[in-house]
Amino acid sequence: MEDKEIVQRILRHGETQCYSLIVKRYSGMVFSKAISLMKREDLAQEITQQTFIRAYTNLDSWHGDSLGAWMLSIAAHLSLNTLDKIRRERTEFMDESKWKEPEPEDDEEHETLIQILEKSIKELPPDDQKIIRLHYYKGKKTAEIAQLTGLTSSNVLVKLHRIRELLKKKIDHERNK
Amino acid sequence: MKEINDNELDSLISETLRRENILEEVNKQVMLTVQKQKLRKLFVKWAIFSFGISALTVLPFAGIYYITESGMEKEVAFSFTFSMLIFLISIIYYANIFSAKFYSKIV
Repeated sequence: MEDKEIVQRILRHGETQCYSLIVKRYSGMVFSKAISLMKREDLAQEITQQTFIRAYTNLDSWHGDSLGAWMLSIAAHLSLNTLDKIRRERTEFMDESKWKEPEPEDDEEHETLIQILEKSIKELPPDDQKIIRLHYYKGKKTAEIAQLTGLTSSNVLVKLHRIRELLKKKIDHERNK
Repeated sequence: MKEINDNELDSLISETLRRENILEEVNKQVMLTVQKQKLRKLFVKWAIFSFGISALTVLPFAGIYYITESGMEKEVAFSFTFSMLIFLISIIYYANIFSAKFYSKIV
């Protein structure tokens, strides 16, 4: 469904549940923007949340051009406001020398890698997604994964190795594009 | 861009999956707020509507009754009640606008 159609459904018919599609579509992008400005995951999460809530409240003022760009401008505005507030507090309460300026180039590259991986993981078969989630997110050992998935431990190890190789290849491929 | 090693890849995968969870949480929280906002707006509208309707029905009659009882002339009583009605409608109208603006600021 196109962005315009979703917005019209929300505004004209009150189908608020459609907004979830917009959140899913742009949350990664908004979060990346917020984290590139804030450098802190908890603040970036808060900014992302606030961005979508503010966008929803002002949805009728969206002019119909790129919704992503509009969301990013809201996120940037909120981030800069928060940063300004933090800096003011910092100058009041903290030693200036402790403030470490971010390195923009490294952050940009890191964000690109995360986005490539996000896309690549979503493209994996559901079983493989389950295995890497159990291993990398839940921190499960191969024996536990084997128990949960009904595979043998050696099979899990092989699968993990293959998935990692595949993800590495995809990263290299996307980077060389 | 430099080649990434195995350790970097592992930490990148972990970070990506953690971020995926963060975004799911964001989605859940945003949708909860949106639903709450919708319900609150509905409630405010309903409250204003119910109060407005009952006030619009009862007040003119009460006004006319009270004024005629107090011995005022009929024409004066009607114009007084009419201006009261206009006043009441404008209060309801601006209360509605104010509540919408107030709520959008809270969110």
